[in-house]
Amino acid sequence: MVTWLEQIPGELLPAIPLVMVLLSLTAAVAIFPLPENSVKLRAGINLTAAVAKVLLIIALVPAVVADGARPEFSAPFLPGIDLVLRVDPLALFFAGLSSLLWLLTTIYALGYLRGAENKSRFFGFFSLCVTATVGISFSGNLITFLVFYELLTVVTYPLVAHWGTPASLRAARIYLRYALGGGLAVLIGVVWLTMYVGPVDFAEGGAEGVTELVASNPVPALLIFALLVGGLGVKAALFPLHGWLPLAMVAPAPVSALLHAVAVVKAGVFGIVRVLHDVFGVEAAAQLGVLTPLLILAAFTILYGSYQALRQQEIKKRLAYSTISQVSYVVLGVAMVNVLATTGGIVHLVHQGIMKVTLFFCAGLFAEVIRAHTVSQLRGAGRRMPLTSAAFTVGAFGMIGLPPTAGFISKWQLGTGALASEHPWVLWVLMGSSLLNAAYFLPVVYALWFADPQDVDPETLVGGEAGSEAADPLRVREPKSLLVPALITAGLTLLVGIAASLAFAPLQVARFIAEGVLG
Amino acid sequence: MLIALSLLTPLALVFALGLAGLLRPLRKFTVRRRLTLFAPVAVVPAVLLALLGNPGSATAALEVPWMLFGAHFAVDLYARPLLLIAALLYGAALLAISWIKLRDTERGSGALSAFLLLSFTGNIGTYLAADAASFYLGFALMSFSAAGLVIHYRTPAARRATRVYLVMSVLSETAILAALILVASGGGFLLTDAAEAAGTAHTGLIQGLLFFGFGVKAGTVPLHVWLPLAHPAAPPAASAVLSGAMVKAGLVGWLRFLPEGETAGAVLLTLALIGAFAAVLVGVVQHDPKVILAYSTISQMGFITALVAVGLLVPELRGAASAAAVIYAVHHGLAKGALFLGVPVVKHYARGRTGILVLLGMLGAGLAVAGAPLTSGAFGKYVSKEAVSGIEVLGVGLDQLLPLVATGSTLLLLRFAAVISSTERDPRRRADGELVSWLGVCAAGIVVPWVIGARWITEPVQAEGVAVPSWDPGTLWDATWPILLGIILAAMVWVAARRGLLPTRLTTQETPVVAPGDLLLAEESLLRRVGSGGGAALDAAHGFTGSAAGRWNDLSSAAAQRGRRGVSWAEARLGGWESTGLVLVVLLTGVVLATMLLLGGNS
Repeated sequence: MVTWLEQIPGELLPAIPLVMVLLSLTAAVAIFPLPENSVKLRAGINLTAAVAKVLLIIALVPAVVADGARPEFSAPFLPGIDLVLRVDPLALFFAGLSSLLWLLTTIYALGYLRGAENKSRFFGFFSLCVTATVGISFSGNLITFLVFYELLTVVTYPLVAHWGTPASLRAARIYLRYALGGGLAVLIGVVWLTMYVGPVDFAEGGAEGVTELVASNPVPALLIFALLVGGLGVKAALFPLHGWLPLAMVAPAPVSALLHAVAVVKAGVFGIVRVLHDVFGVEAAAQLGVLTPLLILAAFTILYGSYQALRQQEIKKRLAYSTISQVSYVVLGVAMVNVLATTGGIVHLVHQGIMKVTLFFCAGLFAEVIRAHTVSQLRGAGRRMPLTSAAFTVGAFGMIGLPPTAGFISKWQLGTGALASEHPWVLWVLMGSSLLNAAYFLPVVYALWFADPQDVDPETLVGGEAGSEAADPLRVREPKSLLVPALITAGLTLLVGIAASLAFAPLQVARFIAEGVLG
Repeated sequence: MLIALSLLTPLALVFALGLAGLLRPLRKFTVRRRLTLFAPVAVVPAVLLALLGNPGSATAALEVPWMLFGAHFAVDLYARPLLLIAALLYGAALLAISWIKLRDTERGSGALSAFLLLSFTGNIGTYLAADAASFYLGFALMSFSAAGLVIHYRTPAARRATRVYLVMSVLSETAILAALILVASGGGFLLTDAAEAAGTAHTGLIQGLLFFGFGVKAGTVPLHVWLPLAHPAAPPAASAVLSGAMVKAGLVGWLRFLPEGETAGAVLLTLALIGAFAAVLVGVVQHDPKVILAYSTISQMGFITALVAVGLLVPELRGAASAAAVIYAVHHGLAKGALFLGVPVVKHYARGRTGILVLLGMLGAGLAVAGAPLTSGAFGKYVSKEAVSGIEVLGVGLDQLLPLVATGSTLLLLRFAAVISSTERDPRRRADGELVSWLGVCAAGIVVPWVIGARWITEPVQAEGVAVPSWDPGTLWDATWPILLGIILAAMVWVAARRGLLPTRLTTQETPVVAPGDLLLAEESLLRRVGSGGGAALDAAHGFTGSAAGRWNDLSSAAAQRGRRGVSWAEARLGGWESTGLVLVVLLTGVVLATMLLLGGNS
């Protein structure tokens, strides 16, 4: 299948990153003015753009990973500073995740918002959100990164606030406060760093001049690092900057899915990885002595997020705290600085994304179809919505880290990495997190399959095949556009776990990236 | 190829059974019923693999480089016999629940078959896996699908058993995962290197984790508490595989991973012997036949664990002790499986002429568990005794101590016989899968342990002194006296009971003096106390952070208020500014600042 793609002429390659950013942007621009009722056209634009992006990513894989090409586009932005879009393996990895999940989330959202209002606004901002994510992943220097990072903040606000209820407006306001504060910190950090070393171009092993800065001026370097990571940590929901995330779960389910799996939270972590690997470089970071505190912070966030998740009865809230915990695995992995752990951290970018998107898809399905919002309302749902429940179970097992899901691969990789690092105690953090994850996900799985059905809300019976006497009266038929994406991501969760050692499987690409960074 | 087929056939059937669940109720029922009729066939590839997979041959090894971290499977000395036993037991269990008249089938037998097939795949996966990750995959698959077996009846007792089982399993899985990661990091990713790698670094830690992790499955005291709850709660066919095959996965884990060590050996031996004897004391006061059998399993697993412990204590004996443990496991798997499968058989068929057959079969299986001469049990006990000669516990030779386990078994089985003979019988049934599968396991119990014990296990390790017994009078007497002792003890108790010499608490009460799960109540209350204490501490911490956060919030919102007042003051002054909000101001300031500073930095 890839053969025709390899025919892409070399001179076209540099245009691809730009095309990919413009693709979502164009989609957004085209969607905003569409009237509410042109459902088909809107869906068509959305899906065409999403599919095209996935194809472009596939086209890039052989060139970037196998041939070592680094397609780059640059244009002057500020005096002396260019807007640079460059595709390196890490960028491709993240962009691949976001394009694939964008496609699936778009399908889901089309079904989810059927009959809702303000669809053009929603899908417009949705596309802008993805534009920002792609931009973030392809950013070749700090300024470009910053531009897209701030864009992401602004365009996700209307998505979180979409329902317009007091709760969602409040959540969106709080989100904006957090995110702008974080953005400001990043901005100051970027400016400060640029004052010292000029435009900061991402480079493997650290940007030009930063190593010298660390050696000559460690205190400002330390402060810059703290500003950058602290600012990014807001989106990455590192403790104690995570407060906005559990509130933001009032957003529509596809938004939550996108927020937790690819867009916002991941953008933060991706930024931290970039800062650590391609701005400071792990050696300089080690010299600064920031790695161990970062590791401890990540470890604490992992346990704290899980502990909080355990206290939640609302499904989406539980999932939100679980994200706080799981995303810190990535930081944990890269902060341990060895190939094994870094591979584990980076691969979890993708693994967590796929698993969490599955869980949010399912949570949305439960909420929409049988109006189940809390864990106890899920009792017996396995009989009513078997496929959704199966997908949820796969996602939950993935979060616990049970084989053969993707989560197991991450956990094993991180565990071996911890033992190879100077911080073997991290293994116990991982195991503690496994136990806590089991403690808050297994009761849900138990309720789904083994608990007796709750009193059934008569309204939800309408979805069943009323009239045909052979039908199970409790069975509910899920809307296909919501169900299929959930099943695909659940299948992927299993696939990338089982076939983890296949060429171009996430684990292999992550190892390639980690080896590139750490030699 | 055959390995892949053994693992994938049951999975394919599970998949089909799951898909059938999506059909309309009536069609679902017929399709599932048809599929379950094929379920017993799914174990055939595994049987063939055991028969044809000579360790070292091409059939007996499989590498799947793209799976997990590079998966390896192999049939080796330990895997081969256990694989056959597992296939026979699961096959019999599937037969017993599916090949019977429609009106006699259990509710949800499709789901039951699916969970059986899943845990079968996991179970043989633990035997066949040749690397740590695949091993863990098999183990986890088996553990979690077994929960579906335990909860099958959905009674309050089944639910409680499932909860206890799941909690124990999650703890054990986590301990095992940690241990396996430690082992793999030490260079023991392939199981052939595992025990050695575990012996080089973190040895004590690994041993502790493995004791705990596999001890839960193997029913080691004090981790055995789930067994007496789960076995009676599950359908009899499921209890047969729980007791016959699944508890052996813990044994295999130990044999594969445990590094040698004196302290560890001593600790494990102590726990094993406590389990082997204490289980008898608790078991004989029980009223439910399946609970009694569960305690018998704990006692017998204590015996097997003692063999593992000897291998740790004296590295030179490891080969012989491990071989003995496997032989014993093979024997116990079939004999205990026959007894469990026999519980409903007695209920349904113990009348008239079939009654004699049932009596004979149960008697044979019981005698085998007790280790009567010429039975498979005697074989297992003989090789075990040879393997442990020379080891002393508190001044008594272990080879003197272990036969007393047979005395305990005799007592338990007499109690079992007494309880089951007084159970109510159902109206008579025609011969069906339930009876046939039970007969099959009985027959296999007579033949299979001898054949595979002699051909597959003792031959390769003959050099280490493991051999099939020859029936000279000395050996016969060795096998007989523990049983006679048991019978005499039982007779004494019986006489005492008749004369009213026993405390009335023991004889008259409705509920057993010691509840099934014995230590569980204590463990539960301990956990609850720790849990509530920990929870209270966390709550306190939470309250503290909450109030701190609240104060911080107040502070910041006060600051924001002041800021806002300042801004509105500024706005009022500037006039003309629409209240576009803080956002624009912040952004603009940022951009302006950035441009200024950047230009400054460059100049």
